[in-house]
Amino acid sequence: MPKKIILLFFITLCFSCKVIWVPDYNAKLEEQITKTARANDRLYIDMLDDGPDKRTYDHYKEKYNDIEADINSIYLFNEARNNNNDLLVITGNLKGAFQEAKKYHKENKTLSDGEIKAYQASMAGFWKPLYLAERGLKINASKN
Amino acid sequence: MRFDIDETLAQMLSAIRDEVKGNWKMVKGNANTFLQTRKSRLELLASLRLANEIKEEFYLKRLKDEKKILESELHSIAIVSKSIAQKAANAAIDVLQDAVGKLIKL
Repeated sequence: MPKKIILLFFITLCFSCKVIWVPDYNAKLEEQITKTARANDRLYIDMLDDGPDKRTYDHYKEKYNDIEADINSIYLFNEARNNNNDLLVITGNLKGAFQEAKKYHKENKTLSDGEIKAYQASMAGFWKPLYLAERGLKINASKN
Repeated sequence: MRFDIDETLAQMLSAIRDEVKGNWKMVKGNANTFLQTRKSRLELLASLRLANEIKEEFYLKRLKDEKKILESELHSIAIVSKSIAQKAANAAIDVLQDAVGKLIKL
């Protein structure tokens, strides 16, 4: 008899519970991540296209600031989500890397082809985990 | 109607198995993608350094970035794994709720 009562207690408990370990998937955020990652990649593609004399920081300042503002907005959004520990590490690393790349360009006035190619590859490396993580959250959004 | 706990547990396990099986490929796929892109990135960095297109200090900073990228990748994999586990756990709870719900209605 006590066994049945304990079982009934756990069953009743389970009735009102749903497991939540990750934030809800957000389609708009996935779109913003894709859009900003693309803008970041485009920044370096444009720089490679321009000759070394045109690659001054001032020439790209506006683009840098637009991308940084978008990254900050993604970070802010993730800060407001529940169960956000993993996402905050990923977004924080991305934010730090972008700020470092921007500062380097600003301090050195221009970038060489090699530096641009290296930054382009590294920044893509920082974006990918964020994009794949957001897409991974879709698992819980789908019915099957 | 008798509540068959063994049958319910078997159904819960089956629900977990079904949820994990399909989605587990996604974790493996992501891990492989990370590995492949790391390989190409390290090859690019090494070739740029060998051709003297980037300075030693800049090269070492990019290698330091790799540690941070790896950290991000591991957190990304953790999110996908948790997401799969969440779906599987909730599917099992749904089976239990359904079984008990039927019992209560009788």
